[in-house]
Amino acid sequence: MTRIEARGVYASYGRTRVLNDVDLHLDAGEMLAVLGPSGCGKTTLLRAIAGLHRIDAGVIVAGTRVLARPPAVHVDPERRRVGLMPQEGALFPHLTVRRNVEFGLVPPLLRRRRGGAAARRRRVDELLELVGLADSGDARPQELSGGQQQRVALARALAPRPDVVLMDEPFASLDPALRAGIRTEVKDMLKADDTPAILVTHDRAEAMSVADRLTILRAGRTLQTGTPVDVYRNPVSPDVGAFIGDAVIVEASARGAAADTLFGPVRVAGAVGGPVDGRILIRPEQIEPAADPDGRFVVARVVFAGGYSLVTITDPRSGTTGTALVRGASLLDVGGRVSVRVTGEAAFFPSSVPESDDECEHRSPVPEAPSGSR
Amino acid sequence: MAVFALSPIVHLTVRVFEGGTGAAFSLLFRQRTLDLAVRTLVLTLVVALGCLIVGVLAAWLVTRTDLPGRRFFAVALAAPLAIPSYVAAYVWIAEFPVLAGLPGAALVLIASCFPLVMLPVAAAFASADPGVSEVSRTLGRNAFRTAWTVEARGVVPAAAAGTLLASLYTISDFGAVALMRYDAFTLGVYSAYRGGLDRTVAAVLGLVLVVIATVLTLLERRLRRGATARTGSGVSRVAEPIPLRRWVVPAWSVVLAVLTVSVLVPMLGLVRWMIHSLRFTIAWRDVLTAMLTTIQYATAAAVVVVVLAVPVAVYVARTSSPVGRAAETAVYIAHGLPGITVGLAVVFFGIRFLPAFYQTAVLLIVAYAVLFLPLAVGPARAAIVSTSAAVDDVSRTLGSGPARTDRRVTLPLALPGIAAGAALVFLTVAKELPATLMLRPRGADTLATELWSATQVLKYGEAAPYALALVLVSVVPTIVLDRAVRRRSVPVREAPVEVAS
Repeated sequence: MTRIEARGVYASYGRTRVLNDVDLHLDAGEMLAVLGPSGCGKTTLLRAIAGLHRIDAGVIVAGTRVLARPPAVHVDPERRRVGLMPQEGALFPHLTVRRNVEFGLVPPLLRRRRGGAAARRRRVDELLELVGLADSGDARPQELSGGQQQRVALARALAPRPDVVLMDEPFASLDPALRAGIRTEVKDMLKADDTPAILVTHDRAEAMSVADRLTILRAGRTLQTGTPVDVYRNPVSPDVGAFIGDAVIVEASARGAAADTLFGPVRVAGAVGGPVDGRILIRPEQIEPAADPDGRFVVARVVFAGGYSLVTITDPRSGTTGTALVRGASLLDVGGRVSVRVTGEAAFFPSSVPESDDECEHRSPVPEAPSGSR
Repeated sequence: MAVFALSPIVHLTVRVFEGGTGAAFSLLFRQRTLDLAVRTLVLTLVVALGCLIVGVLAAWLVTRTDLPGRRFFAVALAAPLAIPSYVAAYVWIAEFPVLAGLPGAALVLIASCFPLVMLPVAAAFASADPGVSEVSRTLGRNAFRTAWTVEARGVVPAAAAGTLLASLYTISDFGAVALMRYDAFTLGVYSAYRGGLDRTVAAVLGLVLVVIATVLTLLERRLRRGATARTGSGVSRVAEPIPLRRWVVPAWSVVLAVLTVSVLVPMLGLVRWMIHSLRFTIAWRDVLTAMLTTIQYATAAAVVVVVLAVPVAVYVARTSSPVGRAAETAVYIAHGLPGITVGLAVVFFGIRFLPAFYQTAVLLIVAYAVLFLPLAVGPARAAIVSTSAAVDDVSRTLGSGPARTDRRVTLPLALPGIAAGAALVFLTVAKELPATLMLRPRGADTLATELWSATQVLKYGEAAPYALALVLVSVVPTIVLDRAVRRRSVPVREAPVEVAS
């Protein structure tokens, strides 16, 4: 299995720098998600790896093959051995499902060999079997559902046995109800085929649910790479932490393994040492509000969402607001007083760490947060 | 490749100024030039105004009102586009000889050109956001006042672009003005070419025409860019039609009058003259020969033009470089070039560089290629642009290089657009008159030139079978083409409407 690696990659469109010193690597059979808000260079990164976009600097290698190292080396996309799964699949509308999958297997006219057709047919059958569309070989792409089209796109990408499959928000156009199912299927198929893949997305639930590791990309920079749990629990900055999940960020003063906050004492992940001022990042599921006539906080809003409720609490003195995630229906009354306890460990950021201010684009400086909690 | 489209014109310019600018300008600033210019200007203004009024009114009636039968009218009113203007002119002059001159020329050209205004305006009406009109109604303006003050504003760019296209058609038109004996610029060019010993006069006049046509073409393009009516996005919704009530009968009369003048009279007149000529012996053999010649030339031109157009279309669709934009503009300007000047330019060009091919089919096909390359580039480019880039990317990553990707993916996907362009070229060549008149090989006649010859000597009965055959050759494939394109439902945007017949 081939290890894909990109180091110090810079790329731009015209005069606009889109990738700024990007590093990533991908091990055998692994699925890496690149998570970032739209306009942060995710698609450009994929196109750079695929060879569809020339990079300005840096190096991209697959195993021992150098794919790109400007200015001397730029391997054309058709010789890189990468599979591409763009948004909405991009099946060839003029070809049947079978011909779509076969596309990358057909050699140029002059290099065809006897027996090649039979071998191709076997490979196509194998892949149609893998993606569960063995009976749809003669169908036209237009006759398939969105999910089926994605599966054909995957089979087509896998057919020439690429070193890596690159997926550009492949599930964004699907019905949200189908999305979760299809992406698990796709992940299982990739595992079955033992092909590594890079998935770029702006959907953090998608990134966290399917990726073995994920990379946070903002303003063309890779900010952090790790397992979803690790990045969620120990973000490198408050910014990354708020990007990967809903969070309340408050002032804190830490000493040793604990910090004093508005919400009371909070355990700090990793001992800090002497008393340090800074900020602490608390997740909604860590906040436990309890009705208390003498409590410091007031319940501002309760949103019931089926399996859980989101309780927005305010501190009237400082104006600080936070959201707590409570199992089931919350029995708290709006306007009532509550006291708060914070469970588990929280990430602490000493004030000396400068706040990263590289918001990507002005359209959505804030990542899509369904329950605005900051 | 796009330079090819303009090279004969460039050569014509060089040729004109070879004798010194003084000589060229002395030929230019003559009473004759002024007379021609004034007559063409008058005709163009009348036709433009007529097309604007008839086109906008017809568009409004068929899209925004509850006029009974408006769906049928919407289709029927576009039919004049399929009738060559000189066929209509032939019937009108044969039936009503008094119309000769400005009235006849204006009548025929308005009847032929108003769909050029009606179609884009109807599209603008149909795509306008009904919410805006509804707001106007709730603010106290009634349906007619809203139509005038709100909806009309939305179609101004479309109407202006359509009117310019009609003007362009008018100044380039040769057949209709010639048959109506209206001494406009194109006819002046032709007379100077036929009569004069020194063809430089014709060349000078032809260049004046090119300048006017180019200005109109560029103006039209600027206007067309602003011709989208909808501002916001959102689900498109069709506005409630405005009830005409007691205005139904007047509205009907208007629509029926327009249809009578533009479609019924030409068709019935044609049938009448056909029956008339059936009493005499018709030279069926000649008609058949002319038809075969026409089909041969049209097929050859379609093949040549498509072979030339596909690489241009691929290049123009892909690039955003200044060269690409210049090529696109060159192609666009070429689509407005009058057939008479291109014919003339190819004559000069051929005599100088390809004397062996002068008065052979080869040179004629070259002229057709120059004239109609844009017709094929337009739909082909649109079809290529509308194929998604993602599909190309996938093909590249699957191991097909750029050329193989074009062959395996892009061109098959763009095939309907390319075929539509080829068919359009075929149709347009089949009814082309002025360039064919100048360049056809000795003894080879097309339907159009046979019709022309017969009407020149006032043998209207003899002309009838040729006119009928022409209508068959142009109307029937138009319907087939339209159906085929609709069925494939590949968007063929920006297909330039053919200019000059």
